[in-house]
Amino acid sequence: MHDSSDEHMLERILAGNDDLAAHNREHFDELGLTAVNIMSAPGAGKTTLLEATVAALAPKHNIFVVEGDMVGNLDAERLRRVGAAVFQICTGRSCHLDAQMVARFLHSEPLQGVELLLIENVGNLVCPADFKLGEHRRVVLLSVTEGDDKPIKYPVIFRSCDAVVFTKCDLLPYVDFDINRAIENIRVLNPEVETFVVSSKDKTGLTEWNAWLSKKVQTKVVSS
Amino acid sequence: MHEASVAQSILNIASKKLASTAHTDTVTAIHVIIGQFRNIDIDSLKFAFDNIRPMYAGCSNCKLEAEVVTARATCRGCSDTYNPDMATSFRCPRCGNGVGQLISGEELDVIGITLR
Repeated sequence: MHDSSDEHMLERILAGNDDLAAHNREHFDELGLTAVNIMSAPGAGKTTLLEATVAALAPKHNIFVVEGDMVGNLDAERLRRVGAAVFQICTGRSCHLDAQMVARFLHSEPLQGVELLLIENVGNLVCPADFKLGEHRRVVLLSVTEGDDKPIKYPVIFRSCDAVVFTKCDLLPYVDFDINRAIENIRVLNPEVETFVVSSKDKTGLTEWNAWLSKKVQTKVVSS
Repeated sequence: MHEASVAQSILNIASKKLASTAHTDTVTAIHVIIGQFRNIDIDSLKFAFDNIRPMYAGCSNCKLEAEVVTARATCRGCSDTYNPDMATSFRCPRCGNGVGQLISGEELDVIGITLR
């Protein structure tokens, strides 16, 4: 017969990931690059937005893209076709990127001279929110075909982001999506968030989005 | 399902604690607190936990005791403290304003283990 004993402790469950994310951030800062974590539900248009972003900003900034997918390299191939340098991370059964996956990438790719690292997370509005990667900025895409109530349904990711990009806005005349209501729903949770209304297809709003990203790069260069 | 990753982290923490504790070889329970403002489904977490615990020495029959911590926030408008939830679209029930500082609800911690 053995006695039971209770050991009290206080340990953050995701401390391992958070510590690695801090390590990644140190690498990013040493390299002088700005890392942006791009998150959304599947099919919101992350890759299409990145194609347009790379095409517009490549003449101005040295860009590298990390593609996170559970399987395959279809998105990476699309981005390579527009001239992007791309590293594919296949997460297997995992529904999000984590700091260890990004750390392995950092230790395998020479990134000297890269100014902007765009990290396309696995399509998912839940899991990526809890796993920091070491990024400087977090961006969530919300396509107008998804519904303006999504920020209420997925509060964690919308509270923790720096910017929200409303995508596929060329479809606004055909769907019941109220942009103002969606922005209001986000600001209840996150008053400082920046918002962009874009269509990667007809190029609406891309100038403002690209300017925001470009400003983050320039701010980083000045401060590093 | 990121609950599997969370379950792995919980069991790793318990295994390390067990390894550093003399005269015991079995973890019978792990006690965790999970904030309402975390994306964790307790049933999914327990399902994942029960499936992977045999892979962790000394933890093969341990129970996961999870306590959910209610979210509390300061209102940006009236500074009242309230529980931000979906029922009010996260608005303050007193003045209708939004979430300011989150006082609780983001916990995701192991707070103890029971050893035998």
